[in-house]
Amino acid sequence: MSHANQTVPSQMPARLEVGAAPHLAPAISYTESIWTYIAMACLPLGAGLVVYGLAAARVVGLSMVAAVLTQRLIGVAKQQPGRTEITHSAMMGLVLGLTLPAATPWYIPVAAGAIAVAVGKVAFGGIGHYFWHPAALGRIAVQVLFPEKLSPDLWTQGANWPFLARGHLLTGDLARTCVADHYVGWRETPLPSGCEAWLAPRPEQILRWLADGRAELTGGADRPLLAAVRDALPPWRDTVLGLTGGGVGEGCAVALLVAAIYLMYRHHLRWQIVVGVLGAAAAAAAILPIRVAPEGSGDGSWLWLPVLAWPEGLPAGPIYVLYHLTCGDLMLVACLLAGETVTNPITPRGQIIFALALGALTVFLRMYAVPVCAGYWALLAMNTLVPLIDRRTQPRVLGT
Amino acid sequence: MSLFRRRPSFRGGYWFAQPRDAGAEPIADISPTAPLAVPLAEGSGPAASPVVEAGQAVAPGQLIAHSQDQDGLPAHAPVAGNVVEIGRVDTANACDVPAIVIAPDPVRRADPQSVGPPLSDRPDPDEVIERLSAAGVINTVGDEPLGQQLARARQQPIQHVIVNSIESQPVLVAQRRQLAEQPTNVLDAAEMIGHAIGARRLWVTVSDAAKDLIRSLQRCCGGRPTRLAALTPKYPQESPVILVHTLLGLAMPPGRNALDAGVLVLDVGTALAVGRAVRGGQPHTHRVLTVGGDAAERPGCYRVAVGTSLADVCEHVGLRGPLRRVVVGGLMTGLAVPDLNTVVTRTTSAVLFLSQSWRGRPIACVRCGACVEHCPVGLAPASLLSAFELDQADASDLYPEACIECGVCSLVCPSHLPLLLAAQRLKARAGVRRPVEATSP
Repeated sequence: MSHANQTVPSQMPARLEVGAAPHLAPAISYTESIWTYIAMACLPLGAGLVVYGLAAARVVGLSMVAAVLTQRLIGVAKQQPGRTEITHSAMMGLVLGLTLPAATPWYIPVAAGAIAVAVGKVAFGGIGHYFWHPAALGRIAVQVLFPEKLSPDLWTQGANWPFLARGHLLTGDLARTCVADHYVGWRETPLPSGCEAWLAPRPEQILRWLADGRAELTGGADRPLLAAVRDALPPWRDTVLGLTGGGVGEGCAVALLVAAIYLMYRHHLRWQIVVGVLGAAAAAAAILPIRVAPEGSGDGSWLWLPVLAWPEGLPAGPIYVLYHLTCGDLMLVACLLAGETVTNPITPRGQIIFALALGALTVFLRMYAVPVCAGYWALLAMNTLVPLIDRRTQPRVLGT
Repeated sequence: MSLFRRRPSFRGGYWFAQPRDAGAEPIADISPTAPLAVPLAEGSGPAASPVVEAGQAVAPGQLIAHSQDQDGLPAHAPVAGNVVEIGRVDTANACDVPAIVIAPDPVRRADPQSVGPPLSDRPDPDEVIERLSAAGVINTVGDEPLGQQLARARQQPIQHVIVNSIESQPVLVAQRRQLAEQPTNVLDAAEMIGHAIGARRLWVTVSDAAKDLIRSLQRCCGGRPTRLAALTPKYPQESPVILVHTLLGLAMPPGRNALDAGVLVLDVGTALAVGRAVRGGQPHTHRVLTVGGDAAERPGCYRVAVGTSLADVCEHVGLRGPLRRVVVGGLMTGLAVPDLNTVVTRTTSAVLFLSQSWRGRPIACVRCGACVEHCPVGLAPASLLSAFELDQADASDLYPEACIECGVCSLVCPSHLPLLLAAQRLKARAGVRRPVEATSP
């Protein structure tokens, strides 16, 4: 039949577009997700700039450039230009930069960025196909390749993790460092003249000493927690604001939490991940034992449930758990790394299992195994288990 | 008696923002100006054979094609006019089906013809089935002649009849509007069907966001056997599998439909068509549609004669802005048609004129799990897609036949993957290999 006699409205095209349902704009796009991650990673980066100076920008910039260049070179070689892949690599380079300490030789962020993209991502097939978090993989790779540059000596002051001192924030020089005789806090410790940065034990290391039963901390008493919390650890305002040594983006818990909350609000990050990692880490810190070395005699004994310690009216146990949450790489892993979707289980239930195990494993490794990068090691280990978790947590189909 | 029970929901799904004043406009008529092409085949049944000839004058409601087959449906003239030709036409679901083209003649007065005298208040089941078949009433839910569904239901008893007014997709309002305008007729029809097939419970489901509608229905339902159920308007609440699950707690095995579980689901439009056929002997020749979309100038609910072309509908509602895509059905499940010569059928629920179309460039699955989280029946659409792409021989452990084709997975996929298409194809393939009968637990 024909409708030749009909007046067809003038806006009518000759032919209509056809396409499959749904006929709606997609609710969310991965590119948007990557850009949001980049924007939110700038919050801890900004905090890092304040605490570590322009050296932080140098490290992050180098790792980003290395990551993007590697992606671009491989793209040229394979003749597969991909804007999304490049944006994604830039995001990985940025997050990777946040894991590295500011005072490092130039080749470390460059190598990390190149390895993260070439080995961690492209070798597996790019977006959607990699197995381990590329940034965590790059970080661990340089940790293994250049241990002398990146591993502070566990028993001394942490030779290469300086941070800027009072009055020198943002503009100070990380090379002009001082070692405090007795560092009691960023604001409290008097700064010797000519110094612009501190070298002080990272709180993470002090927590490790606690678990090891290190003699100075026990102070001859049977209350190592009290000694640690009252004397050895900096005030926990320092760890919350990131005024300690560490990776560029690891320190400032406030910036990381704000970033995570915004990502969750925009549905780019599942709350299950953040809450699971932090909750399990708190539980593990509350339960796992620290070593109590009695005076004079051998190995000492284990103090389980340190959270219950409440000596001399000071809630040392709960404070100790808070230190575990706010220092080291745990917060960065929980807020920006663990939520990476490709290396996560696919169901919310699986993600909860993943996050719980990740948080507990991080604290376990930090206390008894690797003194640095515990969170990244734990993340890689949990990434490896994702297929197993996925297989066990398939959703139940209605009516089966 | 109206009874509010707990308001159950279902897991997954998607919340669409519904404007508060949706469906406030009364239903308007679109009286056809251009020739109508009444399709002679709908659903899966065979085509009816014409009983009129070109040039013959027809009265509204006059039988123009009768069905030799029990599965087929007769066709009736929606308006007075003259038969132009016996031709062919496209519908949204099928191309090139036989059709009778009628040029409407608004001047000529012709008494509407009925398919039989009004039946009594408590009609005999056989009478009802016969009447529904004669009037050509087709159930939108299942796309099947209602008489046939009822005849089948006589072998397997139907416990529940659900008249559903919930449309949780954006823009659609026609069912809610029809219920608001004719609540008593809807209840009468539901009770009549319920009596005919001996159903134990009768339900009218409404969106729990439509407070005014609920209040007025509560007044109508007083002292009647039909129960009012207010459910969350989360998409795809209106899908029969989900509706039966949330309302009655029945979980259908994959691949089964509501009728297999002894539940007859009708939309409001079908229920009203039943009422008209049984009470007034009127054939099913008109359908109330939502006409909308951002390119429609006067969106709303329109009562449209079967066989009206979309060009005619378009002319009536007017256009603002360029027209790029025309969708028959909702934005989530509708079909985009290639041109405006497509005609309205007895199962068309909406016609949407869109000035924009979206096509994201797909990238690899990023395993975000959004599809799994949102799937209302608990499938893993990403796994279905990879099974489809790998041409996996046996995907039965993924239950593709459980897919209700709601399209939420495609909507929420950040990689813009065609998850719904993959599920539909796998489902079709599974249907070939494993008939529904073989899936019984």
